[in-house]
Amino acid sequence: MNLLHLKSVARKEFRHVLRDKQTLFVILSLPLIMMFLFGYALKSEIEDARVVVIDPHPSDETRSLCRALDENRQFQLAAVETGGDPAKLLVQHRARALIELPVDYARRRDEAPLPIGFVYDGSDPATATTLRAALPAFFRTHFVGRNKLEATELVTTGTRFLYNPDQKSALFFVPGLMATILAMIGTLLTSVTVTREKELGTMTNLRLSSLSASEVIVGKLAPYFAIASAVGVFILLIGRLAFGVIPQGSVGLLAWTTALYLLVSLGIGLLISTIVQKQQHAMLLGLGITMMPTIMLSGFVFPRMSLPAPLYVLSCVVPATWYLQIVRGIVLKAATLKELWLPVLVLGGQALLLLGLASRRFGKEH
Amino acid sequence: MWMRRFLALFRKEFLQLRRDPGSLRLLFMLPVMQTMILGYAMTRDVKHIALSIVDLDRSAQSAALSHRLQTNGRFDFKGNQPSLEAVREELLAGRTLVAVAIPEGFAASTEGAIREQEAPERSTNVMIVVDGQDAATAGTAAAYASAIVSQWGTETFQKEMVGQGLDARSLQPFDARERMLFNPELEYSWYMVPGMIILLVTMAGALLTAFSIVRERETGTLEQLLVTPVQPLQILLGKTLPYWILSQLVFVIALSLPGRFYGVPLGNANVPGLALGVALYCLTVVSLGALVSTLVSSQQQALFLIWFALIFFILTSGFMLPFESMPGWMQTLTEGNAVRHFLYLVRALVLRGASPLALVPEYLKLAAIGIGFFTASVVLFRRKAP
Repeated sequence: MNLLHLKSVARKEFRHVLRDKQTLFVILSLPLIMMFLFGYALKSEIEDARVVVIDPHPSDETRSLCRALDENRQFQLAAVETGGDPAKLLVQHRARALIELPVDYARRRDEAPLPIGFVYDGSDPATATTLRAALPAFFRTHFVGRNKLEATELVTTGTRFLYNPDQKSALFFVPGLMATILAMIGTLLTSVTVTREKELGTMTNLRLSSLSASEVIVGKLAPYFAIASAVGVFILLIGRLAFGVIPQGSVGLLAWTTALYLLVSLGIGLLISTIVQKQQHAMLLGLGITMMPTIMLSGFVFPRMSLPAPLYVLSCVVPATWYLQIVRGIVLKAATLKELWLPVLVLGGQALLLLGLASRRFGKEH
Repeated sequence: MWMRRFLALFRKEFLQLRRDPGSLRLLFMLPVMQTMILGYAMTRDVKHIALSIVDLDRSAQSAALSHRLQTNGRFDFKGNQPSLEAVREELLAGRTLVAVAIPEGFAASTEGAIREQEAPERSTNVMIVVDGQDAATAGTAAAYASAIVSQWGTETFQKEMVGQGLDARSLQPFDARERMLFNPELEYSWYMVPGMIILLVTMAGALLTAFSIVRERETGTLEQLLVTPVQPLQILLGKTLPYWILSQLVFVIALSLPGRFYGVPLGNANVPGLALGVALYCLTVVSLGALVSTLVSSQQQALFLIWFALIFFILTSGFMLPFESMPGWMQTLTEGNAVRHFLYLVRALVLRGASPLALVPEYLKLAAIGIGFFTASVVLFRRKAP
């Protein structure tokens, strides 16, 4: 491998990237916007869920109940009706839940427990599950206060959340974002750049030149490796400045494991470019192979433990699954190589396998 | 004359599409296949929670509580740990997600309180330690553990309390009668599959529209078209209309195949209402593609820009996270997000069996956004055309 050859291929590739302003804009602003959204605008807890109350016999008591419900941060009183079909009312008032109060709500105080109907809109299971716990809890507190009962819960629980005590979702999503965006740059950009040269016919020029296959590969991949690394640093920096996400563990370990993950992504990109001939197909294949599994199966958005068995097995093949464990481990838990040896080993194996296979195929074409 | 020219372009686009079976296959296969496979993955339901227990009390009561936790279907029991330090190790290594610690003197203090006929000074505290990395999952898992512990406490001690003449009403101050409407089994796939289809149809529809225009620009045939007597508007209509029809077709196929596969109650939906919604939404999809095509110079850029726009639209649409939890300014901002309105419309029609009349605001907003996008693309296309 000639260093001079390598440098000229890499420089040419770098210029290609820098000249493409739109793609650069997307690569740099995507992490910014996603982090902004996850940090400030998107929350998984319930706030202001719309609730309809069916109150057949309005009284001061029920009005104060409705006021308390509306003032609660979690709920918002959508409407108070005197009767009607719950299903129709939920749709009509765009509400998440409905409460049916008994006719004698105000009169009955001390006798047997009041029957109260809770009707939930199950079409959004996540919200319904949360409301199913939150609404009765609100009523319990309200009743204990109203009837001046002593709270005599004998067994209580205290919950501690380790590694993310304030339950911030930014802490969870910043590492996930690293995995997705690095995969996008590594796989999509490389496969597209190689297939574009094939489409334009400039790959033949490269082939006819005195460059060897390995010089072309390394020279073409190096700029993307550098850019992706820079974006990784950029994401961590924003995470630190805007959300106070400070890596708890070793930054050195994070750096070289990230490099390993990047090699895997580049390997996939190169492999795709040896399989397809057209840019468009490279893009769609790249999206199908990397984006969807990275977002859906790696544990970035949906908890992996809930996956059905076949998909769980499939998720073990997705590189991001392992990389996420490493990043989250280092950033949030201060984990060391002692805990992370397995994911690191898997990524190393994948990098060797993919890059080896891709270069062999590429070499043959060359 | 106007119509004839437009129809000629329209036919040409269809002919071109037919000659490119690869793209067509992708357009149809991608949404159907991905939804079929990944529909199962899209669950925020928390199952198989890895659980460790530290029993420092070693009494009959603590053993009963421990047994109750272990036999609950939500948790996968990973073993007893001798101390809190040992549990920390497990949590750090990611082998357990939830640890429940029963303190020393757990049985003695609870029973003592009942014997003394008064509430204990400090209620006995069972500690739940959760790996909080994923805030949502951790919160749900902790809530499950906490609910099991309190329910066990109520069941075990209520009888004794009443027997001892203690006021047990605060344990159950009302009689809750719960009903779950529209999706009684809380199937996540019912909720997620329509969203997933919208995502993939938008992706495929917008991408192919943008590609078809950008490709002609790349190969120079767009310039040839522009020097003919056809107007830019005719070109744009001829380019977008075929994809508008195709996107609707893909949506219908994608909804009926994986939708049926997952048992989504499609029968509830008002068909004309759904068709109108799909038609209006697909106008936005193809207009997005056309709009992007005027901003970029290569297919790769088109892909990245559409992907970028789509991520933004999807995240702020209520696809995964409850819409009401967003701050007010964000909710106002997303009035311009067609995915949000269409998603609400589809879920309301299909899952809640809503009548289209209740969704008039959604139709109007979708129409306004679609026309807005299309007008913008025409204006930009004209500006870039000469």
